[in-house]
Amino acid sequence: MKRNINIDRKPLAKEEINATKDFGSLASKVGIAGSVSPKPTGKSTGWFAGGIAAIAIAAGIYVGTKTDSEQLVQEPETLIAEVTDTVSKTIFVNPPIPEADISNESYYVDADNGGKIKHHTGTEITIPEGAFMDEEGNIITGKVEVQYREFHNQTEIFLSGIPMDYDSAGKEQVFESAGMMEIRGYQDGKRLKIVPDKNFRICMHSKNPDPKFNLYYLDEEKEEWSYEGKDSIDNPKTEQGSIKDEPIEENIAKVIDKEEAQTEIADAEEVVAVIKKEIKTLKKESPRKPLKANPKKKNFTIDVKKTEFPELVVYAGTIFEVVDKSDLPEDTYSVTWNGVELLEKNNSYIVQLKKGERKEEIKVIPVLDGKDYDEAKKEFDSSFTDYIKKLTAKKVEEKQAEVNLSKIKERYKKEQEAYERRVAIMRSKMEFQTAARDELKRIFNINRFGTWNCDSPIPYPKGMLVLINYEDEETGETIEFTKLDLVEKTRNACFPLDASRIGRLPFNPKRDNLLWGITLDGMIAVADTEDFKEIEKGQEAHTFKMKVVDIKGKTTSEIREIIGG
Amino acid sequence: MNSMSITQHIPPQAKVDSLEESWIKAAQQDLSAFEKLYDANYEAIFRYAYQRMDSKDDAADVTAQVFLKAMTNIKKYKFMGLKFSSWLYRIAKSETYQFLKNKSKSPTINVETESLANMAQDIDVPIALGNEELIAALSELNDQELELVEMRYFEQRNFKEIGEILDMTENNAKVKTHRVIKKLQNKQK
Repeated sequence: MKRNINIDRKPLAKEEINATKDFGSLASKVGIAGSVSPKPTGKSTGWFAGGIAAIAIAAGIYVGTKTDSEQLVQEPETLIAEVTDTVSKTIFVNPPIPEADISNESYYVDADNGGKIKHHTGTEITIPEGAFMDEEGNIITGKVEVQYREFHNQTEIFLSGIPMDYDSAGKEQVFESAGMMEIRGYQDGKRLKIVPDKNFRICMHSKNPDPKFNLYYLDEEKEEWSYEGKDSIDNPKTEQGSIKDEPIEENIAKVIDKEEAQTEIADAEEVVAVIKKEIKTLKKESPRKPLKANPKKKNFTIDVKKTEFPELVVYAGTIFEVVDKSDLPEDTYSVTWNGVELLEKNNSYIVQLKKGERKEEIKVIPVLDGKDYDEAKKEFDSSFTDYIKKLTAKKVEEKQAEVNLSKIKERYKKEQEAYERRVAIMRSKMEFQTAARDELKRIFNINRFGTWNCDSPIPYPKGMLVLINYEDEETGETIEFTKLDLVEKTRNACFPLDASRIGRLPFNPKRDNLLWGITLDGMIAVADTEDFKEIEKGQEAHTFKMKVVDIKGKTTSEIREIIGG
Repeated sequence: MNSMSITQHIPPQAKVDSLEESWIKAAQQDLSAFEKLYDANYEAIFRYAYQRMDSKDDAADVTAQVFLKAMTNIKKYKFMGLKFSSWLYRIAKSETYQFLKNKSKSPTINVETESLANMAQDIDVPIALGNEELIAALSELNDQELELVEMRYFEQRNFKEIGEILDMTENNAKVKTHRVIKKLQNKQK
């Protein structure tokens, strides 16, 4: 940061400092009667005046061009009202970033006839005839301006700077809100009041049908909320019942476990595959029916010396019937071959005869004859019966596995269909509920202008208490705040913390928590739910690495998206 | 017969505190009684603001705003649990920062050669090295670090008071100031 440096500046004398004192002017600004004494000349009061104008305009109050000290001097009485208004805005109701404060909408009503205002959220305000009066109690006629704004979520509450703490019998609590609104009346820039017994009827849009909420009014003089009874709820679609705002698919996934289904199907498929493989192997190893030698075909036997060709002993006595007699060289029987090999190719056999570099291949069929055939046939018959038995058993097993697989598939298919039906039904119910919520109204009468709130006091969260510090996640520098709130995503409330202290933070680790702070230079600093999840049970201290964002110029919904509220 | 009267000895500071307490209680009942608190603390708050800016008029504006906020929040004071003057300094810290920001003005570091010499001694830097390097190092400190240096060396506050104003324990103020000293030492190497 750029800083000016002065070395050995001439020190100010006590008298010079005392010359700038003006308690009378200060007293007038807080509305102490009889002490209005604006400074005539000399000290600059431009900053005060500018501040007043800026804030008053933000609140939609018509103060004209009274922004310089000269005009303030000329109209001291007006000044008192305006400054008092400013004080309540800047001190008690203190929007942390004035540019991001929730803006008012202006409506114009004929005071004589009253009327009905329809706010864009669906809220309806019914104003009876002759319901406005000035500060002195004179009934107002003609066109009046009604300024109105609503606060429905934590972001709007946070940005409004409206204090939401509530001292209930010495117990520090904050308000959970089902909807809050501020309404003011003006004519020619002057604040108006509501005529006694001419209550405005407010049908305020709300998203929360819970009957636990009471009605409170923000008493700006006493700087506290006053209990004003209960509102009534108009929810035309309550018969549907309440559905929790949880992701539908996640909710229903508790009934059907897709992963388990996939595993079970995969297991059953593997059983079928294993049996098929066993069958294939069994077939491959099936006993071969011995063939009887055909006397009309050429054949040969292999006469080997056991000592020289022990591996060929197995072929001793086997008759190889020649498939195609042209394969058989004329000298086959006369040559002494020094190499014989039996090859199997495409379910037929080839006898390969070698002598030196000469190589002959003869396609053959091993056959038996006489006694050998009879014995082989007998053995074949026996082993074939066994084979058929085994094959039949495996086929049965295969069939059962296939049936089992299709049953599992069918079961999950049905469950999936049932799941999809339930999702569709629940989605439809939620859509209905959302629509119902849009139509949900909290109804109450008001007899004063100001801020009204459908609230329920709740205690500060419990569960963990951690010594905390805050750092900018980018620069690593310690952050100082002018405002710091703990927010639980599921409760429409902001829990203010002492921003000037580094102390212990109470929070409920089972909830989705956020920390929202306003830094000294007017940026928003956010610690999200993941930051809280890093805090382990029993941990003494934690440093939040907070994301610091400049939100100036952004809309409330954009800010809401940034800070996750 | 000699007679002797016995009175309880009250230390001067305790008298001030208890008097201040009665002023606070009175101001909480009736804001016009705030004037005594205003008179007792005005100069200190003015000097605090003036230490951090160039213009006397600006310091007067900030001081006025500090007391305006103090008056409008005096009812809440009892819940803060810290010395009244420290409470005012906290408001002054925030208001000074806000004022400079609103006016797009840079903060000022007002240094006296004598204070700088004391500081150089603490940092163990030969004064002969000149002030320029030390001043350059000061201007690179972050806000809190500079605040600690200003309070300790340029305003000659003790650690207890620094801790109260900056909302930290006396020991913490000592440790943090020591860290800043170390940082400045390293920058001088």
